Amino acid sequence: MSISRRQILRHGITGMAAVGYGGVAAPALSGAALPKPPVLGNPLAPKRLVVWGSYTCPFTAQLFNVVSDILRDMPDAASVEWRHFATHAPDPALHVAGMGFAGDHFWGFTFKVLGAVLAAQGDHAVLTSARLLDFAKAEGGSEETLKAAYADKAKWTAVRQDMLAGQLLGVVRTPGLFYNGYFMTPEGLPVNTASFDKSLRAMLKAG
Amino acid sequence: MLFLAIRFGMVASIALAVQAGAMAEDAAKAEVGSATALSADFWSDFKTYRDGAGFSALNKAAGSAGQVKAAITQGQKAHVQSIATVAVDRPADVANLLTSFAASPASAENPEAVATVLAMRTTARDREAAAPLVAPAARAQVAAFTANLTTGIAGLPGIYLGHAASVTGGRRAAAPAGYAAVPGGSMGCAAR
Repeated sequence: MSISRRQILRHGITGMAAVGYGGVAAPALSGAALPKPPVLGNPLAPKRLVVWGSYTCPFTAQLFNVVSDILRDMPDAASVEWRHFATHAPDPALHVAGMGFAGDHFWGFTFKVLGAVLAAQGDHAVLTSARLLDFAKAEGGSEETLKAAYADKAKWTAVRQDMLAGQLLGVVRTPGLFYNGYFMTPEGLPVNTASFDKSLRAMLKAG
Repeated sequence: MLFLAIRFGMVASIALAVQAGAMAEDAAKAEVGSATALSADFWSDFKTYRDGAGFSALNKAAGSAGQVKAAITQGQKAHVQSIATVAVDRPADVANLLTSFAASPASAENPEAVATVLAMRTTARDREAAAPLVAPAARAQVAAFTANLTTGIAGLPGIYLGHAASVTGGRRAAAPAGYAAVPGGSMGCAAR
């Protein structure tokens, strides 16, 4: 199981429907041109987990190991929506870079970044410009893809608005997981991830 | 091996590495075009705004921080995972939330953030029920920032709150149906 989880983080999810910047309408005002939140899994699944995550946070990476396994096993039960919450100095640009990719490629890029941070036990200094470019190329992008993302003010605004929303909802650390009006992780990811996984599955099976 | 080690308790090493990563940030700034360098202006603007009166008013209007803090305290006392309720459904509470947001000039500056908070905390049905209780002076503003909130999944009334009937009468269970709070500690990366 641990090998498959590492594969998910390092190589992205295969065989799983992922929708980025589209699908079900997201909260936004008329005329707003900000990218819609990426959704992992079936966007029409009847339940939605929402994660305020940081690209440089190894605990965000660990949470996505958990929820990716759940979506793999229960593909019609729920989907996971990504919200930006930068925690360390390089984070905002990483989130903006991620938005340079759509659909599966968004998640591929995101999981490569999270996987690198997890493998380095949280040392995000491993995310050099060269490494990010490698990740971009692996998802069909290029240096131009990253430059175009960095130059897009709407993407920076999307990060800012997500971060403000997270803080207004009480997020003080990542990952911040919300479900049906509950803030499930005010203190971050439970250390006992196996029990957390089990409880989340029971929750999604219930009513 | 690393992943197994992390799963079975090397949380402290991750925490140390996170600190090391933070210390490495200054060094990373030297790399022209690095993510750290590209993010510098964002952080400068964000911190200035977040520490200002506008965000303070917005945060007070949102009113979630106190509930979350209380849940954390309660969880720590019981040595169990904290879970906070952020949904509101009693018409008076929903009207108060809407009126408070409308009264804050910062709401108009941050329409997407406000829309997200409202969509996460209230259903369209509850906002509609609360509408008559919203202060008259705030109604136009409320109508503006609730005009285009989510339309739901597969016919359900909302993305974030529409799939369960547990938001009723202002009294919710302490945790979602089927969920058992996890004993022990939690781990996360603190907001800057």
